[in-house]
Amino acid sequence: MNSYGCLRKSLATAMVAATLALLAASPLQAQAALSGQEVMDKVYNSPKPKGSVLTMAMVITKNGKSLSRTLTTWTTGDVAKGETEKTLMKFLSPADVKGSGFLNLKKPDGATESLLWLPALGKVRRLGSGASDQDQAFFGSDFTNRDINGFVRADFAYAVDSFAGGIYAVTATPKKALGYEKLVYHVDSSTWKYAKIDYWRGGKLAKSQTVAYDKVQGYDMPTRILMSSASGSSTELSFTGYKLDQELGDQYFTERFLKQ
Amino acid sequence: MKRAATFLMLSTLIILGPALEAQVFSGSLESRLGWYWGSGDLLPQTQLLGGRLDGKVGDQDQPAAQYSGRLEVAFDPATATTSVALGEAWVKLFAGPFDLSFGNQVVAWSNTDAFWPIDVVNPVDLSLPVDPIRMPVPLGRLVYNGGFLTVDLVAQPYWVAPKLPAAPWAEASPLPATFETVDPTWENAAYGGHVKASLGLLQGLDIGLTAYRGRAYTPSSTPNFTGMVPTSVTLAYDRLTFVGADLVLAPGAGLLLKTEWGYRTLRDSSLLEPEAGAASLEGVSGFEYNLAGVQLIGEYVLDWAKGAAAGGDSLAHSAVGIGSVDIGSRLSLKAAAVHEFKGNSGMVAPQLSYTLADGLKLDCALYFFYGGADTTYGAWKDNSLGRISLKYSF
Repeated sequence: MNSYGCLRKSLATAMVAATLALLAASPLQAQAALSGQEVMDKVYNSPKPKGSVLTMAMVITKNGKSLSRTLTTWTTGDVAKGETEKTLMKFLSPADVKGSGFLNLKKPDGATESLLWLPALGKVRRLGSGASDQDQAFFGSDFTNRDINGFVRADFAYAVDSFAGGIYAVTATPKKALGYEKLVYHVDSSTWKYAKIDYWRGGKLAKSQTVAYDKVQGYDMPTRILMSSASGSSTELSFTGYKLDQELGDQYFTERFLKQ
Repeated sequence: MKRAATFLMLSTLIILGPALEAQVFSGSLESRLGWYWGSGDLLPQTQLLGGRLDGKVGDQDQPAAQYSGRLEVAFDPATATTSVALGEAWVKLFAGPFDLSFGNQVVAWSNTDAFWPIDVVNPVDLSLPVDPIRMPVPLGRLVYNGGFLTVDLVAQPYWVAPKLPAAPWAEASPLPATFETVDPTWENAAYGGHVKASLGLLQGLDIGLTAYRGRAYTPSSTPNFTGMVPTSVTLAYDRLTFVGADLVLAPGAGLLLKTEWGYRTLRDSSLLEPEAGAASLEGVSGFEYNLAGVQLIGEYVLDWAKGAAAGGDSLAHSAVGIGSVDIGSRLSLKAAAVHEFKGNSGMVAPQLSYTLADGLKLDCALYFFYGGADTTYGAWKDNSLGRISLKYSF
């Protein structure tokens, strides 16, 4: 091969390498250009099972001492799609709360119906649901009812703080009083799931939630959620059973099923 | 014949055995201590050991049947006696929208807290009037679950007497008293039902109607005379006809409104034109609201009774206030108060519950009474008491 041929070959190789480098770089560059709203849209729109039955253990730890609960939740529906979000929880242990249950129906218009089943009293009690109820602790844990029920995407303004190592840090500032001054989501751009949420209140970090995921039936499902409070207490949710893409009809979200 | 019966039983067990899923045995051990505040005398409190068996037949989530049984062993240290009692024990069959259950059951239709105007099915254990306990009774129950409509029908084959307050909660009768017996005949069977419509209005609206025919759980007293002198009294649980209505509305913003009314006539008296002393009306109206983590309940209670021939009607108004708060995952505080405006008497009851460990709970309650000696609660002023209970559930 003559020198001109070598030069042409080297140039072609360099051009191919440069093109490949550009092609490899562009997705990252495009992702870095995403706005906070776009990042959170991807999070909210990431694939989720249609209906699910999850069994979990909840361990509340404070001052070195722990209390544990196990419960099963049935969920279906998506308010973002104009459906009523239905959630039913039943406690499996310990024995003094076993059988207690909670039914929550969140309608697309924002109205929420809540029922509580207390086996010891033999009654289903309707609950009034308001902003202050949402800020109450979820069964004595470090989660609030609002943390468990989920936030409404449109209630926040989002802005990207940083993008490094494939992780977006997005600050979500509430547009109305929602119990927190701001939330900071740490979103993994490879799965569009948040690995961590920092909850800020009164200018201070109030608590942090970290989430571990695993592939279950093709979905990235949480296996462990840890909420650590600045006061030193923590609540860990460990998921021990998954039934995904279940056809959960209305019969699962009734007083009758709540009492069974 | 005997072989055929044995074969049939074994076959049934073999067939049904695999269908029995999720049988769960649980129980509790409870130790109680109480004392009267003024005298320092100990309050007779039983020590309890309870065992419970629950199970489902068929699929866990949509079973064909469900069963539950509770047995309670009580030891009274004051008398050193032990008693065994069957608590709730029932079998429930699920068939489409119908639930059919038989056995010892408690039927709780009421949505209010301190007073239950529409709970007429079960007798109440008033051994300690500050802690009334519904007693399970044998009955058949058919519930129709029709989407927004629920129809709950009950039939009791025979009547069970309540446990009335004894000394020091009730005055001893100056005359010997005998109870009229209620024979276990079809004539004395009780039946009734509650219909509820759950409407998706605002954050939820429940409207209910109740009708019931049975016997009252508060005895009427009839003096027996020898000549002109009363020598004894007969206490009778009169035939009862009851109608009631209830409503619960969650309008939003965390508020819950509820009202419940029950009208009863005795001795087969006409509902619209009852005879003297044979009609009464009880109503409760109130709200629930969560204020900064404190659950607040306020209720107004009205009690009307048609007077006997010689006297006029009686009307009493009371107010109930309850506040409760959970502090962390272990501590719950509650304070309840009842005030009767006629006579200005009432009760104040602060309570505390602390979870020591999973399944182990400590409960403490104090009950203070105030008012004149001739008032409902003032008559119990010397009965102000404290109670502690330690319960382990397994």
